[in-house]
Amino acid sequence: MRINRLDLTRYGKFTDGVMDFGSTAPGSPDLHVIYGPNEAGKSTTFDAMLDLIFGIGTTSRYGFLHPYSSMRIGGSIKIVGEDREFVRIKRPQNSLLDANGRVVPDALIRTDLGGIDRDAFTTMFSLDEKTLERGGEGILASKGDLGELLFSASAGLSDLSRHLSAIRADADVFYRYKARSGLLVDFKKRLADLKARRDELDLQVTEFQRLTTDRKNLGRAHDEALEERAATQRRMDEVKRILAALGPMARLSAARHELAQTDDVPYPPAFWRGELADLRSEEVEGRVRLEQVRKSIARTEQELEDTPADQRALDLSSRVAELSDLQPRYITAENDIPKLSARVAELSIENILVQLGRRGEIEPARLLLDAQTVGTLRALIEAKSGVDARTASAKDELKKVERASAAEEENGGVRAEASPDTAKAFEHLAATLKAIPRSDEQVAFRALSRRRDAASVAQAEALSRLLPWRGAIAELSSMVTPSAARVDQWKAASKDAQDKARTARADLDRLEPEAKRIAAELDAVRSQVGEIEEARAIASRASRDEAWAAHRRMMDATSADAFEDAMKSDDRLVSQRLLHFAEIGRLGQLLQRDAALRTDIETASESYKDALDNQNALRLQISNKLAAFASDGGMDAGPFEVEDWLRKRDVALRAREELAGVDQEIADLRDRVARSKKLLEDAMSAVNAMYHPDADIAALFAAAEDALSDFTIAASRAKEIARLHKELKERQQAFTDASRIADEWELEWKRACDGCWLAEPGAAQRTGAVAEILAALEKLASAIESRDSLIDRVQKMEKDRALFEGKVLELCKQLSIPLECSTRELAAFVYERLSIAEDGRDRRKKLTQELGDLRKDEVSLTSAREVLDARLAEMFEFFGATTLGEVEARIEVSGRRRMLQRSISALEQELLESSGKDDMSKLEDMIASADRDLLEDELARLMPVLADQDGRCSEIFHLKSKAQDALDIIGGDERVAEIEEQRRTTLLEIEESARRYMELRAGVAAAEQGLRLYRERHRSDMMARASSAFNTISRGAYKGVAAQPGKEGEVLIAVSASGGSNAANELSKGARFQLYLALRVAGYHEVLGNRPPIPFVADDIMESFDDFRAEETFRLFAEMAQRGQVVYLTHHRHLIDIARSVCPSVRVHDLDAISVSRRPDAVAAE
Amino acid sequence: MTFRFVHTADIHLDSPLKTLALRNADLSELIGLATRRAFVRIIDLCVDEHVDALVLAGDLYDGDQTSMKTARFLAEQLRRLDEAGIKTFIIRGNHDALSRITAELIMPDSVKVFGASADVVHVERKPGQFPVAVHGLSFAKPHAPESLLRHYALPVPDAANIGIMHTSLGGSAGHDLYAPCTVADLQQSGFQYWALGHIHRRSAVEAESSAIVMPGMPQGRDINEDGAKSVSLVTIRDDRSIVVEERHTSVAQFERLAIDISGATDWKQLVVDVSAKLDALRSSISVDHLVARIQVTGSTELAWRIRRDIDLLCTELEARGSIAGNGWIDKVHSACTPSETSSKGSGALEELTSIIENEVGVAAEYQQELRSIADELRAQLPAELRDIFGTDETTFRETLENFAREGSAEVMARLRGGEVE
Repeated sequence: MRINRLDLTRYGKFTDGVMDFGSTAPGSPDLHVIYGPNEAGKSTTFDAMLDLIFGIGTTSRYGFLHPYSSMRIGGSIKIVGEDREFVRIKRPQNSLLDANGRVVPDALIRTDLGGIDRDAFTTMFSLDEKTLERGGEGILASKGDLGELLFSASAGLSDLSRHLSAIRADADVFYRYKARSGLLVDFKKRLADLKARRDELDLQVTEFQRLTTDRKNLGRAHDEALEERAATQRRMDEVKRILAALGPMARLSAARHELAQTDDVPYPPAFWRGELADLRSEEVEGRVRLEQVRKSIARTEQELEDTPADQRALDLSSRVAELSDLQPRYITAENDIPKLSARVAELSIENILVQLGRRGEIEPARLLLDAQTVGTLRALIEAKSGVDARTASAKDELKKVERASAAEEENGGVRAEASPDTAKAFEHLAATLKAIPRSDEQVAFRALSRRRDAASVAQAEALSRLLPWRGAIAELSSMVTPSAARVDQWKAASKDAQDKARTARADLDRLEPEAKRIAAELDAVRSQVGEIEEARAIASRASRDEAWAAHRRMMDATSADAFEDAMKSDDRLVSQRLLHFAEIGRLGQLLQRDAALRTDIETASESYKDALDNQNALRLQISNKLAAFASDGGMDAGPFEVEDWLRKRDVALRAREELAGVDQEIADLRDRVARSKKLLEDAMSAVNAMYHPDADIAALFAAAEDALSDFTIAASRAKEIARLHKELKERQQAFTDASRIADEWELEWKRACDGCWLAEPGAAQRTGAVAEILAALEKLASAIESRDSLIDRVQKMEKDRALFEGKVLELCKQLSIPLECSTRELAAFVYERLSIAEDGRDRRKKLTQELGDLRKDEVSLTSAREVLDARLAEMFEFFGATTLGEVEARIEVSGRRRMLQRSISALEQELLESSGKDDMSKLEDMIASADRDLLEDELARLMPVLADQDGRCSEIFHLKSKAQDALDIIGGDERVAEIEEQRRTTLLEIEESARRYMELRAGVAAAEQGLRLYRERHRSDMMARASSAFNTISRGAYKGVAAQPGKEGEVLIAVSASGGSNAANELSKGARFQLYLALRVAGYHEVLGNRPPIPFVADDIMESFDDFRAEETFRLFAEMAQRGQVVYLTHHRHLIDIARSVCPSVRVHDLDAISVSRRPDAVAAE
Repeated sequence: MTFRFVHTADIHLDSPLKTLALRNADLSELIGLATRRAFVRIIDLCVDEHVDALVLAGDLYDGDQTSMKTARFLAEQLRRLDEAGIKTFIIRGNHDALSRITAELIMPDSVKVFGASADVVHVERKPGQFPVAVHGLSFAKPHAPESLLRHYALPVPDAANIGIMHTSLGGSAGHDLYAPCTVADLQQSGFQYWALGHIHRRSAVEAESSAIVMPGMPQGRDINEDGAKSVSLVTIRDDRSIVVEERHTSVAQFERLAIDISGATDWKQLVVDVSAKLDALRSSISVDHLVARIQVTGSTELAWRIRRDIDLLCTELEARGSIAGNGWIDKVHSACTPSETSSKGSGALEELTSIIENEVGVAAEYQQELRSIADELRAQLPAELRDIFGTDETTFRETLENFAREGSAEVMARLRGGEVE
């Protein structure tokens, strides 16, 4: 298989791109290098080749420009020696078309691959860095089964052992050694289940026979047991019957005997027996009641006779009722008169009179005062205390004022008050004192002088810092200094110059040793190469050409010789140069480097010098400026120093200002003190205060304050005396007013007392006494009122009493009651007499009624007696008896006989029924011969026997039924047959599975052994190829690869030139990649050993290879390209040269070129 | 008045079918218990045809058949005949010679089971009808190396004589000799009809004066009992001429089907072709259910695929068979060989195949490994299957060789999987 042309019609970034690999040239390696810088579509091309062969994946990442539905790649592919056109579109199936757009099977394009799928192809023959490494790791992960690995590669089976394991696993599903699960186990379990079910359902013939026999035997046994049990039962019933008849028979005999013993009497009507008792009780009851009624009649008649009637009392009954109405009032009067009289006596009018001081007053009511008088008196009494208090208070106040005036007089008497002018002068003095500040000048002066000293020192120090400048301080302020901007400019310029100088210096420090080194190297190379520098070669060539020109001109022997010499010399030189090609190259490089270095050094030197010059110019400029304002300075001309000095100058100037400020403050203070003193002296003169003319301001203050104080005290005294005089006058007036009011009250009081009995001799007239008298008079008025009411009530009661007594006496006379006791007792006699009379009248009425009722009863009882006697006579006649007792006895006997006859016949009936006999005589005979004890013994013996027989019967019956049931359940149904069929099928399944298991196991075992043989056969070839390839690629650094037995089979190791060995994972990345590549190279040759060629594509896998190894790799590629198509994609242009040097016939394709080229026919075809 | 009877033999009642097709539970519903169903059909036939008798010429059961349920079933069915006024004549064959289950059953009076000594039954006939005598003799033991003919009584004069005998005749392939005798001896015996049993495939010799019929079994039980199965419906006319009709009774019929698929290149087409052949077979057979064992042969590039996916093929055919109607697959075999074009795989696989065929197969180490695998498995199999790898050393070795050959082919077919698809 070979890709002749790849059409990137619509794929990734490509539109109508064509990559034409051309046709193969016989004998020439089919090696292609596709060059394309980043983003030129290198990987796209790489993947396009895979997609063309194997189809575009469902999630291709190349659908960004052309949508999936329109993606299209194609090309001309050589298959089985024939060129064919294919087109691949993106589709799940039928995605491969021929040149005419017809679907062709995928297998067609892959014919030459012989089953190598996309994975295997990618792993082995379509490599980028990723697949190279991943595939390489896959080799490591195969745990060293190199034979299998190589087999997989060449057979296109990427995972042979997985396939075999899968087959083995298929077999294991049926059975695995010592496994507890699996199909076989399941089958066996199913068989066991089926057997169990069958055993449960089925009845085998042997069991059937046993059951039949059992059933027959049991049937017979059951019949026998039943018969035995029935006999026992029968006997037991017989015995029980005889025993049961014994009792009734005895009762029968007794009844018969008793009947024979009784008399024969006639049988009366049945109801007589019941009637007899009633007749007897009727007879007795009738007799007794008649007697009682007769007795009651006699008793009632007697009682009526004994009860009298009092008609006189009854006639007076209405008057007696009136009397009883009056009686309560009589009784009240009787009780209350003495009590009320006592209360009149108790009223304390006498005591009140004593209080009033009027004992013996005959007419107490005379003492009572009218309301007006009482009101006046009361008002005056209330006013009295106020009048008294006012008088006393006025008097006290007056005395107090008088005392104060006297004291003041003693203290010096009256002083004249100060004149208004004087007062005004003093007010001015006080104002002046308040206005002048009282600061302490001394303290202020001391503080200021200290500050001045400090400022002076600071100024001196600042000046000293300005050294070496020694001018006066005044000069400083007048100086013309450079501006801050100017100074900054100087600073920047200076720094810039310094930086430049430093950089240049550093360059020089670096470049100069390098130059020396190059020079030394140059010497060394030159000495190796000889005098064959380029210059010399050119010179030689020139002299040769010159010689040739000369020879052409002359065409003589000499010129020919000269030319020959020149020619030879040039050839020699050339050959020498060729001999030392590499060194010459190196020499050229060195010379070039040397020249460059020299230029660099020169440049650096110049720049260094410029920087220094700039610095000096600046200094000069500054010096000039300095001279302008500080000529005698001798100061440093550096910009930073200048800046510093200017700062110090500012400090000195500030110190000077401070000193001047302090001096000013001191002068101000002195002025202020002088002005204050003047003001004070003026004010003091105005009040004529004394003061020392030389006194300082403080003494003046003191004197002024003293004068002011004296003046103030004198003024206040004068004011106090004036006030006292005024108050005295006011108090005297108040006292006079109070005395007049007191006199008026006395007059009033006297007038009030004179209007009543208080004016009488002996009556008190003081206010307190009168107040008490007024209270007592109130009580007196109330007592007199009560006494009058009581006396009235007593009189009324005495009238009621008299009326009652009169009426009582009158009634007593009419009823002839002797008047020998109290009125109250007489009244009681009258009441009693009336009450007795009324009771007698009621009693007589009731007794008369009772007597009537009793006479009626007597008549009815007499007639009932006659009826009864007739009935008794009938019975006596029937029995021929004479008494009721006899009749009773006869009836009793007849009843007894009738009862006995009835029970005899009942017993006979019962016995016949229970015994089952029909003849009483036979029964009597049988019972006569029976012995109760013997029969009972027999019954007791039979009972357990019957129970045992019962148990046996049911037991046998149960067994018989069971046997019958077991037989009955056998149906002709097919369940057992079904189970049997399932069992047969299961066995068949096991057999089939077992065969299959054996086949698979046999096949796997054969394949494994076959593989071992295959591996042994091919391994050495492959290993040799891989070793050789690895040796080549690594340029001899490694001798090759070797397989070494490891823990899990063989381990692949790299053998180094020195004979050391490394596991692949211990190699550097470059070496490891080379190893991986070597294995692919070997695989490629192995695969091509027995199949048509296939392409080998690699995408920049030599990133980690140096140029020499890359060259060797290309050499291997060229060798591979002798057998099949090899395509290498790269973005390293130098690799093209390397490839060309190794394989001049390599074809280089530029991706940039193809992305624009178009195939007219392809366009037209669409 | 004619005398009509149904003659059958070798019922092997409740002997299960032996086919993997029964793995399918649905199918087991349809064709399970086929021997029973066939027997019911025979009874139905007797009742429907109003025959006078049913003749069962031995091997009602397998010898190991000891379930009383089977006997009960038999009795139930025979009672149906009794109720229909049909007599039953039974002899025991080699399989049921010792069977005790019949003895234990209480048969209706109309059933005659012949004993170990020959006996003649004179069939009750209405007045005016020709007399019929039925002769029978049961196997007393499973083996009867001698001819039994001489034990039979002489034919009853004037009667139609029917002899019932269980015999392998002159012996046939696959059957041991049981009570051997020749057709000629039978023809000379003077009996009108010989109702034979024992051989499972039908055969009949009909002459003017007599008919000798081996009816075959009414229901085949496995692929070795393939082909149509039937019973005989026999009519003896008043003139003593005999008409033998063959009546099909089987529920399921086993058939082998070999299909040449040379040249098949496409799996789908292959399935269609094979299905078509199966359908053709199905429509040529009138039985309810067909159970087919299919063998595909020929040279095809699909050979490996078929070998690998034989179970898939089987499943597809099963599906198509059930869709077409009552066509079932017992098993599918492949005897295909790879075609020339498909055999050119990669060199490596060819080389490996060659190594396995020529070197591994004969290596002692490999033989030993196979042997140990087989021994290990055999120990785990149920007792009934201990002999499936062969009963002696020769067959064991042959079996193993067969496993190795088939297994290697299968494994290689699987490894080629990627190529074929």
